[in-house]
Amino acid sequence: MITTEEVKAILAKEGDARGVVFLTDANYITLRGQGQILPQIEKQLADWDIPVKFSEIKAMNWYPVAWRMLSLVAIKEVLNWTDEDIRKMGENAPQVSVIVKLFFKLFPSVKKFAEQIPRYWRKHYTVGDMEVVSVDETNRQMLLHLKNFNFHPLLCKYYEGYFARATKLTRPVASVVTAKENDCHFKTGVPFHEYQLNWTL
Amino acid sequence: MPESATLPSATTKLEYLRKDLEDLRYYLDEFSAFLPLPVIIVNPLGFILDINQAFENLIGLKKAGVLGSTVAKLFCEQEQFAELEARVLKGEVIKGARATLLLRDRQISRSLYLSPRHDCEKNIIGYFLGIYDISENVKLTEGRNGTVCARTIELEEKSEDLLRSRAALMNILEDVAEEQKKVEQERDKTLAIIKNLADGILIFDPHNVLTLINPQAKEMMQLDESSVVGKMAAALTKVTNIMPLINFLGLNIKKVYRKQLELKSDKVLEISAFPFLTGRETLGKMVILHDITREKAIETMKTEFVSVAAHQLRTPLTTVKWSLHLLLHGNLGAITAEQRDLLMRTDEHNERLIGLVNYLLDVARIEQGRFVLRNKNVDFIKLAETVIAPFLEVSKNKQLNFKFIKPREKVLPVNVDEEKMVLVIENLVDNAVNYTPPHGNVTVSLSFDKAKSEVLFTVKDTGIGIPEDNKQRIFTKFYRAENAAMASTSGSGLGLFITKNIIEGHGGRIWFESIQSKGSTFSFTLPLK
Amino acid sequence: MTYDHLLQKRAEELQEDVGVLESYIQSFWKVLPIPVCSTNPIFTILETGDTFNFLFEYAKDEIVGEALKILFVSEQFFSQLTNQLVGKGEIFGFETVVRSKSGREIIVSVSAIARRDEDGEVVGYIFSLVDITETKKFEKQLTEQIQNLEKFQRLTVGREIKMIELKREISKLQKRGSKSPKVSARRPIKRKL
Repeated sequence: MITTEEVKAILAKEGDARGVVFLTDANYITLRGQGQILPQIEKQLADWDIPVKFSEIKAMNWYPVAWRMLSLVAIKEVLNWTDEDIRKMGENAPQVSVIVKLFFKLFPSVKKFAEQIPRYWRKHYTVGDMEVVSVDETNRQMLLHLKNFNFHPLLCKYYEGYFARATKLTRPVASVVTAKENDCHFKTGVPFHEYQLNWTL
Repeated sequence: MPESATLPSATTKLEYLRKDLEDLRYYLDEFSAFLPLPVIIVNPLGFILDINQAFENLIGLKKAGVLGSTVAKLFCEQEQFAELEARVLKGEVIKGARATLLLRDRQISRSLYLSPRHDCEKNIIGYFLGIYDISENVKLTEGRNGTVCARTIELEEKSEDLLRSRAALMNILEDVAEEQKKVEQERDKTLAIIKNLADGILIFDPHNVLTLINPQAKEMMQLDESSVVGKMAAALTKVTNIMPLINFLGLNIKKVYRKQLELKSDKVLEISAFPFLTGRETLGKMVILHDITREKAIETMKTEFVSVAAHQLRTPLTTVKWSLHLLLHGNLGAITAEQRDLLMRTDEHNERLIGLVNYLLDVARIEQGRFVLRNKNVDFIKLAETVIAPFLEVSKNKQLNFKFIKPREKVLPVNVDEEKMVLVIENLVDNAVNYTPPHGNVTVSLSFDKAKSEVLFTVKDTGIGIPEDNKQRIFTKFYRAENAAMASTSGSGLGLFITKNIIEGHGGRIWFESIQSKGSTFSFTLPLK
Repeated sequence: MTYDHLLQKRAEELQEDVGVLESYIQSFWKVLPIPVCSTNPIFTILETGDTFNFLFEYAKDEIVGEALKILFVSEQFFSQLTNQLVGKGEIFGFETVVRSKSGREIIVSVSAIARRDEDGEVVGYIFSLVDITETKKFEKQLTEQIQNLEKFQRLTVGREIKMIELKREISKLQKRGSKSPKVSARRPIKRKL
């Protein structure tokens, strides 16, 4: 359970996130048949002075990234989800995200897609930087570094799911894409989070 | 403590937003341009806020010419459209409402889709109007309906015509049925007549197939119908009881008129066969069988009786003749002149009777088929001269102009029964002399036709002639023409009958030409062998 | 008002515009009465309209992420269609048969357009699949109806011609029947008694 101090610390961080991130979470919770729990999550957030009402969130608007962070925490605690559930929620997000549908250029060429990744990140967040370290089309592997974005380790799990699904949207349907965090600032103190993506044909 | 490397300034945020807006607009334009469905964005007051490319293409106007105008004015059914508008602005989604779109140069039928637009607070801020292009469907339907209508009308007309034809045909068929009934009745009548006729009837079709045999014919020939009907004449030759008839008529069923056929010893039929026609078409052949067995038997009995009677008479007549001759020659003493006269007349009558008896015997022989010819080669000229010689004297006494014209050249002998030929010539010349009044002419001529290889003998007189209605029977037994009977009471009526039989027995022909009161010419031919 | 405030206000206005536009786009997807979907360049479904979901009997989350080709009965046709789309950048009015989740076959008219970025690169496609099953059924019914009518017309005309011939035959027979057939024998049948 997050402590009040931790909440305050997160709330002090600056930066904005697109409203779509809340909406995709709400979508997944509803898909899991737990949409009726959303008010409880909202209540938890309200307890933390975060006035988020999922029904009132606008996809294109900007909201403090700290709110986004704490919403994830609230979701996990209220619903008693595991990290794996959070990862799956991240996996669902690109499929239902209006940002993905409207702004992402899902090129079949992984290299071309990779070139867009930093821009995609910027579409969602005003803080942090996404860097494509390498794209190895032969071995079907991509390495990403997320820098300057250290809010809560829960997000790392979320992004494993998100990056895997976002990349899968560029691959043939039968292709299997996996993403895992190789290195984490919260674990090893490196100044980035390294994500390795692998895919099959 | 902020950890993000970059914090957006207001300017940067502005840039983000502008880019967002640009991207969204681009997306919307793309989408709008692609959409094959004409779409109008309408505000709550019914004014057109936006249209897409498909709508521009539909109405043939650019956006600028349309934006701001009232959407209802695009449709013919403005009142109805107003109702739809009212409903959609209350939140209802309307699908498939039909309306007619007014274009510059025409009207087109369309199906409408209306859906309310909401803002973030769920307030209705207008509606989308989608316009289905069903013109192809309508064209198709109208076109097809048109074709169907036209064809239906055509078919209805044809059906009416067919109904009229049918009615007419039914009338005709009824008439035909009536006629058919009548024809059937006639046919049944005819069949009844045929079946009930006393004579036997056989009907052959044009291919000589036996199609009908009446009960009498079946009985006459002891036949079973199923064994003969439907068979060709050729096949009937294998059926025992009808074989003699078919052999007699031939496989083509030749024409025959009243010819006798002895089927068995106790069955004699008189056969007539002839084709029967309608106009020029031969429908078949009819064979009539008349049972003359009884008549033949009676005739035979009569002939036998006559023969017996004649034989019985001949003896006493001959005795009378001898007795008369004895008396006339004075063998039994002298007789007075008066007695002589009486005896001579009696002798004459006796001779006549003997002649008649001889004729009767000849006739009987002819009818019994015993009139045998004993032919030999004879000099016919000499024969004729011999027979004619006595008549010269008679003619002279009667003041007749008698001539005998004979051929000059030497002729071949004729193979005849001399005795019978004498009878023939005697009979013909005797008739001519008898029935020609004094001062008349009797000309006998004899000629030979080498081409036909026959002898022609003619006796021409200027006598009483033969009445027209008597001519047919002149060669029949015991027949005497009325005027001949009146002219002379003597005469048996057998002479010409016997003459004809003799000539035909020799393979010749006999005929005559005659005009009453003018004279007659009797001719016969004999083949030269 | 300071410059920053002005900028802030402008940003708020733009934000509102962006929101409106996004909402507008979302509305389009929701209200479009014709089935529409968007795909990525390799024809994976990214977005579907409500009408599309209704027609194909899928929930959005079921169908988004699936290959568009699973909806097409003929894979060969789908290949032809997509080849042409890739080549020309647009297609209009391709008629084909698609299949819903329950297996129901639907005749549709397919149109599609390529979405391109500022560099002209294809970033995806938008498809519309208009259900023309009823139209086709109606067309077939009409065609059959017309064929039946034409067949009937041929039969009746044919029969009509036969009836006319029959009429002629009957008239001939009538004429024949009115003159009773005379059987003429070559020799009269007479019998002397």
